[in-house]
Amino acid sequence: MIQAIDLTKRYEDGLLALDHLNISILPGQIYCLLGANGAGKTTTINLFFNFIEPTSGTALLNGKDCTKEPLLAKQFAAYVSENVMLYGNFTARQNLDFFTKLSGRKNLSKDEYYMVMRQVGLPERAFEQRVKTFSKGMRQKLGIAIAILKQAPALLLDEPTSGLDPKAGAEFVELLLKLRGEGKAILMSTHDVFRAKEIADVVGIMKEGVLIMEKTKDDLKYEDLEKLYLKYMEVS
Amino acid sequence: MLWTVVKRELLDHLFSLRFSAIFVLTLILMLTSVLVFSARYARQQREYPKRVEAFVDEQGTVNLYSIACNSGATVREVPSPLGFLFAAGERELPDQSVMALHGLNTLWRSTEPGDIMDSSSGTDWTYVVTVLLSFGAGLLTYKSISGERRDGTLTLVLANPVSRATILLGKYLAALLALGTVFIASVLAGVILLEVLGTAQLGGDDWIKLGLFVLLSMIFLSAFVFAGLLCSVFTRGPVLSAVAFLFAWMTLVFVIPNLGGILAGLNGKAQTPLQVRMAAKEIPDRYTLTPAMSGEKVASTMLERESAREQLLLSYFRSLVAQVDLGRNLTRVSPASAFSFAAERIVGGGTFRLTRFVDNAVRYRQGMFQAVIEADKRDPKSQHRYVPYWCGGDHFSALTVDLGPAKEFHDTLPSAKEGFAAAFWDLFLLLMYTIIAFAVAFWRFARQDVAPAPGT
Amino acid sequence: MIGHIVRKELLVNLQSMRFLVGLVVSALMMGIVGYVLVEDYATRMQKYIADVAEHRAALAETKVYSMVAVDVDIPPSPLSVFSRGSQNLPTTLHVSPFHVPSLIDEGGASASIGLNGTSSHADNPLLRMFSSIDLGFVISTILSLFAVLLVFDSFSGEREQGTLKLLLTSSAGRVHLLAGKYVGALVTLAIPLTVGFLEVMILWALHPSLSFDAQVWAGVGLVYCASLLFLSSFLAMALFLSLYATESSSCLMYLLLAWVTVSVVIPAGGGYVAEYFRPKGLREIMLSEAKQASAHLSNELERLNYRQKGGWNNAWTDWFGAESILGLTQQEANNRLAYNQKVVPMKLQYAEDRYRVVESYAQGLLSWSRTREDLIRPSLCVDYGNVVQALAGTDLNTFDDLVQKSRLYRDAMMAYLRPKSETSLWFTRIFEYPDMEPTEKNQQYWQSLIEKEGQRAVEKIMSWDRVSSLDLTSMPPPSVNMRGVTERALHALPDGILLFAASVVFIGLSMIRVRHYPLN
Repeated sequence: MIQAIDLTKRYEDGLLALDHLNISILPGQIYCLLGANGAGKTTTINLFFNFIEPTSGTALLNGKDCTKEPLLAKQFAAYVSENVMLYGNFTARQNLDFFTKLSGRKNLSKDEYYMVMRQVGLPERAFEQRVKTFSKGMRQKLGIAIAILKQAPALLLDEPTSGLDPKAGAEFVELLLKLRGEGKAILMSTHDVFRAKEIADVVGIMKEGVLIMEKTKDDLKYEDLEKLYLKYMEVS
Repeated sequence: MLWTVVKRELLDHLFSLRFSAIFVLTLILMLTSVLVFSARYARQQREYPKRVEAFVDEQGTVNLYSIACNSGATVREVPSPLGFLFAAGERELPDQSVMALHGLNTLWRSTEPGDIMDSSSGTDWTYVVTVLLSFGAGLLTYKSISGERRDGTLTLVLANPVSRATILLGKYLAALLALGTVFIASVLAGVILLEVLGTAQLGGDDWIKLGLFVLLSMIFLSAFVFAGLLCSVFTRGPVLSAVAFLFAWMTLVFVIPNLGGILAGLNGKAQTPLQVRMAAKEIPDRYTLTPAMSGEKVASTMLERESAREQLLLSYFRSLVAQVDLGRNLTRVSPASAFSFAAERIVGGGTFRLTRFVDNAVRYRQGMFQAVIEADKRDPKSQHRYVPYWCGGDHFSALTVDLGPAKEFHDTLPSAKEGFAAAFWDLFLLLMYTIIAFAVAFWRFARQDVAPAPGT
Repeated sequence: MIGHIVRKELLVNLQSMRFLVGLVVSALMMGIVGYVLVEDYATRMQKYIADVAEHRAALAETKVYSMVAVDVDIPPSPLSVFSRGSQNLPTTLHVSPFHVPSLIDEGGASASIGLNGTSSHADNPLLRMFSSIDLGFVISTILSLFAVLLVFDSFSGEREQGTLKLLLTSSAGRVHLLAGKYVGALVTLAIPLTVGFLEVMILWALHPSLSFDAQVWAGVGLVYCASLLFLSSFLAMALFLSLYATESSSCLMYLLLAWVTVSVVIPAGGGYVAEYFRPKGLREIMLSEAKQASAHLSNELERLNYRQKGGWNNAWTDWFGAESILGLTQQEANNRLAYNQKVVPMKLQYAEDRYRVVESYAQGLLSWSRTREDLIRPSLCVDYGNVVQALAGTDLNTFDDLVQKSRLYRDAMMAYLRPKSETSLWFTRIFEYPDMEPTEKNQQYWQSLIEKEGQRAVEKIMSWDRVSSLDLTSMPPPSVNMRGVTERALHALPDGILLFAASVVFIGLSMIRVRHYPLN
């Protein structure tokens, strides 16, 4: 469902952000990308949405090339960024309505929007409130709601839990597991080793644009991910 | 999909302060210009002469005997009921022609006591569109891409299966619709005010002209909307976009159009008054009179002289217009100039209208001359020798006759169709600017990294 | 402390992209406009010199006293580079026994296209349809925009960066910060301004035919100070408004709207509105009174049976004005003299009457035009435009002053001419040229000439060209001079004070407001 083949991105200033990345995520799988700031996690996700163009290699969503057929490919993936930004002058529902329509789904009723907002844990009073009054956590939740409403088979989440309080974080994990149960392929970048261990089917560790380790859940049963992570970070 | 984007943008615009501010300012300026126009138009209408005084007497008849000596007949431009659309520079142009039956003498504008106190800044809708609404186009678009990129909403939008062209087009349409709302609402208010005041009666052709003007304005504004988008696409943040747009706007709206007169002045191709005076002095040498000439020959030679003088005047006039047009050609690189030239033509103003007036004046003179000759032929007492400036004797009929329709001067304004045809190239240019701006903006936006590079 | 902040602001400003772009644009613009207007001034100066020579020659050619007419040419102002003034203002004031110069009765430079153009016509009258811009316009639109761009984010920007809090943790107070930003921006703005002025001076220095005296340089200095004052008031206004917005980009937008209102909407809209309130009926009254006066005179002339009393056919005459006659017999000349004793005072009176009618209309218009000016005074750009126009001497007031001076000059001239109107030198000179008098003997002589040499020979004898010119050395010379620089400065003072007051008020308000500027 989500696949990167020799994906490489070198920025104009010469920075090699991503170096021959190969990953593959199947439906019903959660893939957690771990790594320090600047390891290339965000770049990877940006490449899938054609926000930036790859220097070489291909990013595929449901087998569609994200560079050559971006519009087709983007139908298959939803996106939550580290810092979800929305139209401040619009209410939560208006934002939801706009982005859902953009994703190609029309004619949703108010109640359907409310339902999803309830599902992500947004307080009732915020539904018709302008987004500029929202805290970061609330925006994050709304971002997740947008992603859910898109009903895409793949989810690409760029540190979605940053800024969420512990309770919301736990709710989010539950939501993710539920989505996995629905057969979605999920790529999530995170700093949070514990959470990764908790939910991931596959964990990848990135450093300076290179995927230096990839382990499945089964592998990790016998190893301490945290130690592993620190070890890889220390090397070189 | 496109409509979704347009709707969101439109909502954003309609509830913003900049929108209401532009609306209020536009409405104020457009309504006051209608008020001012209607006061002036009423005066012009009142004072417009009903007959050509020196030729036609109060009874509506023409004295053939004295008409040969009359060289002070004045015909005047009929005031345009659409003067509120285009008035800039109009008050600096000649608006009447002094003629004799055998030739036009001068084109001029009588300076009235008090003219020096008039500030002749363009009090018209064209000015409002070129200056204020084009500025509004920038205000509505300068941060449409760069702002969303800074705010981070752009990535969330583009994570959806919506092409960048759609986004750009959506933003364009929304800004144009918002501006169109402002403009068309103000136009309607202005037209209603005009009807209420009742001074100017618009005919069918005038409505077409007004419609064409609105259409033209929208094309012009769409060029500026794209200019704003262009600035937005090419810059890092909204502040830089605003600065970029301002400099572009300043150059296109103030700097380049104002260079027109200067450029025209530097291209000194027109005949100078002195050259013309010299050429006029040489005319009698080309058509010389000799004592041996018969009366008919003297008459025809003198007529030739006079028609040569008229030709000289007309060619002088055309060279002046050509110089103006040359100066303008160079300023056409700015859509603001192209727009005001097109508006001038569609509405029927400026040198376009003046040229038409001169044609009308010449046609009137010729028709009148023909009619006078015809009337003279019917008089058996006349020798049928029309000699300019020789009034008296029996060269020419001494009857006083009614010449019918020929005696009346009808100044027609260029029709909407003619105006449109004359404005065609400017319209084409405007469309080209729009397309180029769109193409460049799209080209740039399509291959742009919308997510910032790490570490920035 | 403030010095420290100013230095930092200055550094930040000077290194910014907007400063660079703004500097380039304004330098380019001022260079182009400066070049064009310096050239324009040089051309107008040439035309002025030619006109003066032409008019002087024409005066020196005068043959009879009734034809004495002094054309007072108004020299172009060298400072017109900064303010071009109205193109409609006439460049020549006509002073003659039969015409009293008045503010609005000098014809102006009308757009006339004909076959007998003279040097006093513009080369291409159609070019007047182009609006012309001057350095004052460039400063009041481009540099004021520049001012907006410099200060719109001075507080909101620091707040967004987070440096504002840091700054305020130091011992610098908010007011210090404000003062520092203001002075820093003003010094930054002074750079493009100075560059522009230097460009003009270089253009002047390089121009082969221009040289200026101390008065002009003092004027330039004053215009420079006025420009600084204007920029300072505009900056203060922008700074004050910027304190009401917390986000840079929206702040920029508010300021741009303010800018477009001040520099475009008020000047244009105020003009529109005033146009609507133009005094009605005044013009009709003026026209009918003028018609009445002229009808009265023509009736009187008709009553005195002008034609029969002599010499009508050979006269070059203007019904209400001057006349000069060739080919009078002594008898006819005597008749004329008696007739003139009645008629000339009437004609002179008519000139005065007409002047009074026109002048009262002019005063009505003038007071309306002052109202219009007051209507648009709330715009700083208009105030600045007024100051520069007054300093450059291209405003209506300076023109009015010249008209008044020329009127005074006419009084002096009339004191010299009035006694002459009772002599035959007023209208004819034939007595000095006995061969021109149509006596029987002369007529026989002319007949013989025609037979010998054709008509031309007689024409030559009978020509005014043969008549020597009057000696006018004892007539008071024209003394119509432009106001000096001090006087012009005095007239620019009220608007200058307005600008200064605006600066002070806006800075004061900003100082109050800055205390409450939210940090979060």
